Amino acid sequence: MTLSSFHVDPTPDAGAGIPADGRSAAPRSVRGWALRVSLGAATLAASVIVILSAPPIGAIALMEVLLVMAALGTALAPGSVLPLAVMIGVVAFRVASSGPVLDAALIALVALLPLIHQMAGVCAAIPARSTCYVSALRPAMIRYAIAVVPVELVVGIVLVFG
Amino acid sequence: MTQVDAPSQRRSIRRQLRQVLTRRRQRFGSWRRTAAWYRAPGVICLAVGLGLATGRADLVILAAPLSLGWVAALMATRPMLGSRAPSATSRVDVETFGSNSADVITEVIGTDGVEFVSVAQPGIGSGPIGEMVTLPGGAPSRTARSQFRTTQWGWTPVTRPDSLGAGPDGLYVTGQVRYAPARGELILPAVSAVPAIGLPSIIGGWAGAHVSRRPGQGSDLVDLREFAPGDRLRQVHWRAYARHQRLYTRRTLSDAEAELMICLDLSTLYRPRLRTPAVGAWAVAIASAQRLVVQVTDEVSAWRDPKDHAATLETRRHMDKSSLDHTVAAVAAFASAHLQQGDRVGMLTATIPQHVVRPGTGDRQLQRIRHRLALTEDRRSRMLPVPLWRLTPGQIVVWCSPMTTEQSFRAVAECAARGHLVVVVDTLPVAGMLARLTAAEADHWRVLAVERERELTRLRGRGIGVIHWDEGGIEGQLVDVRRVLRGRRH
Repeated sequence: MTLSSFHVDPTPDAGAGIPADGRSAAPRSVRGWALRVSLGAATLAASVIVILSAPPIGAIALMEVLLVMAALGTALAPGSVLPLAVMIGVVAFRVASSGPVLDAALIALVALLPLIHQMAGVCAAIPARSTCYVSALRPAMIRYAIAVVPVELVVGIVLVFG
Repeated sequence: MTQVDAPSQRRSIRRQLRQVLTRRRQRFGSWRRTAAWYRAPGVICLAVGLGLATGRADLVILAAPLSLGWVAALMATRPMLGSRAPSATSRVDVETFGSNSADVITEVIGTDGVEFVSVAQPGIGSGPIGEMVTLPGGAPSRTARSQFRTTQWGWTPVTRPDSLGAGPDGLYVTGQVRYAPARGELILPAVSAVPAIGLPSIIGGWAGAHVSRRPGQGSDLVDLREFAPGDRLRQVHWRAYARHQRLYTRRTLSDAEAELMICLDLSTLYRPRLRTPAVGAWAVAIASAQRLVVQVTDEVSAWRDPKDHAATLETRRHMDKSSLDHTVAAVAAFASAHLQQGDRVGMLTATIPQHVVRPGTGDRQLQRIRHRLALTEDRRSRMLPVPLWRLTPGQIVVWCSPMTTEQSFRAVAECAARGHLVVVVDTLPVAGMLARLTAAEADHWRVLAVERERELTRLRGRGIGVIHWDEGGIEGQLVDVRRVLRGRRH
C-alpha cells in the first residue's frame, strides 16, 4: 500500500499540517520503521562518540561491545530498558574519559542524549508499520529545539570564547 | 490508649489504598506512565550526581537539555491528563465491494486530549489491521481514509480500529485498544475473466423467441472468418471465396440459448497444509525474525519492481487457496462468461443441504450466483444422488469438484449417461498441496495422482471435457475441451 492511499480529512478545527483538500494532497509522512532506524543511528552515534574517547582498557572493551549491542537493541525495542542502558552507558563512558571537559564530543552528546530519550519515547508509542504524519511529531520537535538550542549555544560560546 | 486490632488495621490500610487509587484514577483517567517517564529523571540524577562527585561540569551540562525537555513534556502533558481516551469507529462503503477496492473511513474521536494517536486501518490485501496511521492530536476528531481490497470471499472482517493515544514524548499513553469491535462484510467472490466454454454449434435445450448472443448455428450473420479444419462446408461463404480465392466461414448467432447448470461438489474439501505455529520463546523469536525478513524483502521488491512484486504476491496467495476457493472462483468466472454471451446459467450444490439458483440470464443472475457462493460454508457435507439434483433435460452440466472420490467420478458418468453434455472443472489445489507435503504424505499423494489422472483420461475418452483450474491457462485448456466435446459420442 502506498502512502498516498491514506489521507486525513480536515475537520473544521483540525490542527496545522493537514491539507485543506483532503485526498488530492497527502500530508508529509514518515514510516514507523524509519523512525526506529533514525533512533538506532542516534544511539549508535552517541555510543561511537563516547567509545572513541574512552581509555583502552580490557574491561572497558567489553563494555563497549555491550553498549553497541544495547544501541542496536534500542531500535528494535524502544519501549524497553535498553534506551536507559544506552544513556547510562554514555554518561559512564563520559566519566571514564580523560579528555577535556568541554569539547566537540560534548556538543554532539548534548544534542544526541535528549534525541535518544525523545525518539525512544515516541517510537515506543508508534508501531513500526505505522505511517506517521510529520505534523504529529511537530510538538516533539519544538520541545527538542527548546531543550537543546539554549544549552548548545552556551556550550558553543564557552568553547569558543572560554 | 486505644488498641487497634489487626483486621481493622488491614481494613483501614485497604480503604486508604482504595482512596489513593481513586484519586489517581480521577487525576490520570486512563493515562498511564511509560518507561520514558522514569528514564529522564534517572539519567538526570545519575549525571548530576556523578558530575558533583567528580567535579565534572560536562556531566551536569549533559543533564541540562534532558531536564529542560522532560519538564517541557510534563508541562504539555498536564492539560491532557484525565481526558478521555481516543476511540475509533469505521465506516465501509459496501457498495464498492466485489472485484474493486472499498473505501473505509475511520473516525477517531477524542484526539484533542492526546499529542498523537495511532489507529489500525485495513489495507489493500493486508487484512483489517494491515496498516496503521499515526494522526496528530489537537482537534476533537480526526478522520482517516484507507482502501480495502481482499481476494477472500464470504463473511470477512474488514475493519478493526485498534488505537493507542500518546502524550508528549510518549511519557504517557492512553486507551490502548487491542481488540476493537471488528466490522465484517459479506464479500462476493471476484470474477476473473475467462472465455466461455466452447460449446458445440448445435445444442439441445431451451429455444427462445430471441436470438442468443452466443456464436453457434443460426440465421443471424455476425461476420466472416477464415476457414479452419472442422468447419462445416455449408458454413463456407462461397461468394467471398469467389472474390478472394480463399475459404471463409460464416459466423452466425445461435438461435437457441444454452442452459448451463454449474454443480458444486462440497463433499470433499482440500487445502494446503497450514504452517505449524511456533511454540516456545526461541521458535517465536525465529518466526518473528523470518517474518521481518520477508517484510523487508517485500518492501524492497515492491520498490524495485512493483509488477513483479504483485505477481509474487499473487502466486503466494494462489498457493494458500483451498479446493473451495478454486471452486468458487471457477463458478463465478464461468457463470460470468456464459451470462455475458446470453446463455442461461444456474447453480446448485450437489450436497446436503442443497442450494439451488435457478437458471436465468443477465447481470442480476450473476449477482445472485455470487451472493449464493459467498454464503457457501467451508465444511464438507454428504453428496446427493444425481436424480435428486433436479437437472432438466438438455442442460449442460459444469461439474466443479476436486475429483478425488469415486462418488465424484460416478456423478459425472451418470450425468453424461442421462444425456447431459458435461464439463468437469477440477478444483484440487495441486500446486499448494504439493509445496507443503510431508514425506509421509508424498507416497499417498502419488497414488492419488495416478488414480485421478487415469479416471480423468477415461472421462475425456467418453467426450467429457476436463479443465484443471489450478494449472491456469484456461484459454488453452478450453481449446482441448472443445476438441473433446466435438468428439463426444451421443
